Amino acid sequence: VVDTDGYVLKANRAAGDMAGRLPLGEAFAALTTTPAADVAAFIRRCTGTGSQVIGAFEMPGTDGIGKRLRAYGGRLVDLGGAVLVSIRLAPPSASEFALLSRKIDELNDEIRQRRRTQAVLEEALADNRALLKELHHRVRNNVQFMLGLLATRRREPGPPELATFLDGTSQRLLAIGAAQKLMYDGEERRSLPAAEFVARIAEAAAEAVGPGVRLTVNAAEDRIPNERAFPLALIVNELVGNAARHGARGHGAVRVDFHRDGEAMVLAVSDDGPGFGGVSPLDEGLRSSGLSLVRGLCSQIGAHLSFDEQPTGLTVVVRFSSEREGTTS
Amino acid sequence: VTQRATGGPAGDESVPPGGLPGTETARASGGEMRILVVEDDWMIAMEIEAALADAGFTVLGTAASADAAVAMAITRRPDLVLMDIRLEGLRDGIDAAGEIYERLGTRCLFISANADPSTRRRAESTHPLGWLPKPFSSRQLVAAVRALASG
Repeated sequence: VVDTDGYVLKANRAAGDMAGRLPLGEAFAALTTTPAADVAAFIRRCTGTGSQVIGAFEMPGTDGIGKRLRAYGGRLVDLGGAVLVSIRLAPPSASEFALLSRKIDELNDEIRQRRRTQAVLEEALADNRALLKELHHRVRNNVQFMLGLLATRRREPGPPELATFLDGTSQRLLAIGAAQKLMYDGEERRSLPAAEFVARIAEAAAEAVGPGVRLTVNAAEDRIPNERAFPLALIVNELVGNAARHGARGHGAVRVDFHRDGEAMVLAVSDDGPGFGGVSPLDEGLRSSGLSLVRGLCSQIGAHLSFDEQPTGLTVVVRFSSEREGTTS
Repeated sequence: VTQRATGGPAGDESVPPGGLPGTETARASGGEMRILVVEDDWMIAMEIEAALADAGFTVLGTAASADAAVAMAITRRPDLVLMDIRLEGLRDGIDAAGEIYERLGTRCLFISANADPSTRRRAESTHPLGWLPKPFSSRQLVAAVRALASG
């Protein structure tokens, strides 16, 4: 600690070691080989600011070789109100710069590494997208291939039951293909647009029965989880096909409603036909019209299946949870 | 039956009324619509041909590559080309459709499992009559072609 004239008032042991003695009362300038005017200027700067002042002094070494020390100056005020200056001398901060430089090098290395990793990941992502697109393409093409196989058999002579079976199977494949297409088309890959999904499959199913069926679809804009898509596609296909064929008898009205009711999604397919004619549709013996397939698929997605038979027609209701299943099987 | 100059199922309207040069000439000769099927999967091509023939259309032939499609279109002058996108060889269905449109003015109905927006954008310059995404039924195929034939 020096006064404003640069005389040493206090010095710690390290300062004494550096000077070779405790330089109390000596001019600080005399301890250095830095010009006295520069020392005075440093002290003057220190007294003029409350901030730390950084400088450097040349100190004579004990081995005759001088060394440059960093100087950190600060203004002090003693109990009597006199202004003093503290000077802390430290070895050149080359080591700090080296540390900083090393740290920057490490950060640069890390950035380079991360960029390399990002490039690899981006390439892998592009590859995976291409593979996914290819996979979807293959699936759809294969469905088309299977439709071709069935249609080829359909052209050959055979009993009417075989033709009916082939037509039904083709229609189911088309429903699966429609679900597959919607699964790939959108940006969101975990769910399907409900309104388009229901409408597309219902229209295809009704159209397959004949042009006389009047179909009305009222489906809410919602999302259907992918894991429900294929069973639900087949359920819609079966129920609309049944309603058009048996209920509307190829010339009546079929109505499809799809909406959310709280946590549940509700599909209702209505026709204006005679219904089951008093026979319970849940009867195991009633295996016509694909109802056993609907029952099995409802069971798969945990859906509740119910029938409302009125003089004006039959309504089949499928109610299932909208929550995505947490496990795969 | 007159080939329509605009529209079709999901088709564009970039061709002016008055028609398609090569197509109009071919249609003027009368008879059912004459179709070229370009599809590299033999089973699918065969079923398309059978479904169209059953519906009364004349299938001029089937081609499995872009080069074969262009050559066949030049020699047989179809009214309509059903064009798959992925084909045998280095060139795809969009390349073939572009060349057929350039040389003959004949437009295509694309039948593809690969009808994403970027593919459709690429195909715009070929002035497609429409898109029939796979998988489709024979009934849907015939309905789409009939819609084009009836204009």
